[in-house]
Amino acid sequence: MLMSYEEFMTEAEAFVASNSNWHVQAFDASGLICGLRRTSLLKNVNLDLHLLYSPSYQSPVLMFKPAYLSGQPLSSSEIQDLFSLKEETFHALMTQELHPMLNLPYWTVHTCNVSEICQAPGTESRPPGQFITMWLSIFMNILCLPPSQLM
Amino acid sequence: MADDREILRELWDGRIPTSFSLASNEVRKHFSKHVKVEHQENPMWFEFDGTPLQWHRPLGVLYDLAVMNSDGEARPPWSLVVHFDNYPHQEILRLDSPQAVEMNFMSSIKEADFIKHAGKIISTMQKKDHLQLWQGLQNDKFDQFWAVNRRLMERMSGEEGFKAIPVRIYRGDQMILQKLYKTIGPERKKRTLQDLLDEAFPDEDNSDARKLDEKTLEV
Repeated sequence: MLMSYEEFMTEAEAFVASNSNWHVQAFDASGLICGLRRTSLLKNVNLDLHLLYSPSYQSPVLMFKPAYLSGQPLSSSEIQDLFSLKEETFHALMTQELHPMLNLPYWTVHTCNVSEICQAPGTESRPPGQFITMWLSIFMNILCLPPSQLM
Repeated sequence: MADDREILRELWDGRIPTSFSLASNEVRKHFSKHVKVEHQENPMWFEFDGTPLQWHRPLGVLYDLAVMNSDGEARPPWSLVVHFDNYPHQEILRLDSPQAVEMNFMSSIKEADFIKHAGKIISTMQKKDHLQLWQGLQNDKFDQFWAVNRRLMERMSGEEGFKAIPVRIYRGDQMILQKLYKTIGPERKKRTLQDLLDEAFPDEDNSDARKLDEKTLEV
């Protein structure tokens, strides 16, 4: 399911209106490049969650930077333990990349098939914001995160 | 594609003469030309002019950026410092396993195929094709690499060309945000590099060749 940046921002703004843990983050001075952001604390690990628009995949992408309260980033095996993932699943699910706007290492969660599972926003009279809710809940299930950590 | 082979070969054979020096306060016994990542306790990282090198970026891009940012101080041989300690985890990607580089590479290949073909060609490939692609690159085997890569460089039947060009533009050390640069423009004209630059930098005069030096392209 492909969407434009404008469609993504419409969804994002509606989502934020009913999910106050998230806020819209502007990444440039003119506020033209935005995404969603929230912090989450999972077992003493700070998850800096970003929901961005990917121009390559024309769909949302979830990125996060897990760090202990000391600020020290987690290693791959520590992330596997945090989400109780097998090594193979972890590698299939996540890759570290530079955050496109912040230019810092963030973990990207792969979205192959996720967007296909969610249907097009706006069709079947789905209210705006529902697409992102559905999209995030898929990750909630994969990562075994409680709703309070992701929504 | 056959006509391009000469150009492809030249690009493949491109080398940057580089000199390595150990950080003076670090242990020397680890350093060896044949050292493998899994045999070392600490991952190795490179530094130029006080800045850690982003290992996942193509060497040519790194070198061009180094030259641009150091006002021409970086002349061949390119002097790099090799480190085995204090890995800058906050700045560069992790090297937690020997497969880290391969996985990053394959991730880029998949993203590029998504841009070119909506991912349709990479999804028809098997694990052994991915492995051949990676090993061809790793072992400097042009033919082995291109046997697989040429499938990723073909256009699909019924299509005029790629859906869009996978390109990253760097200015200073920042990557300009990627957009989808389509290959066919209005009136079905094929678009040129000039068109791409005009779209990326609409407020600038992109016909000035000197300005082009400020920007590095990764395709």
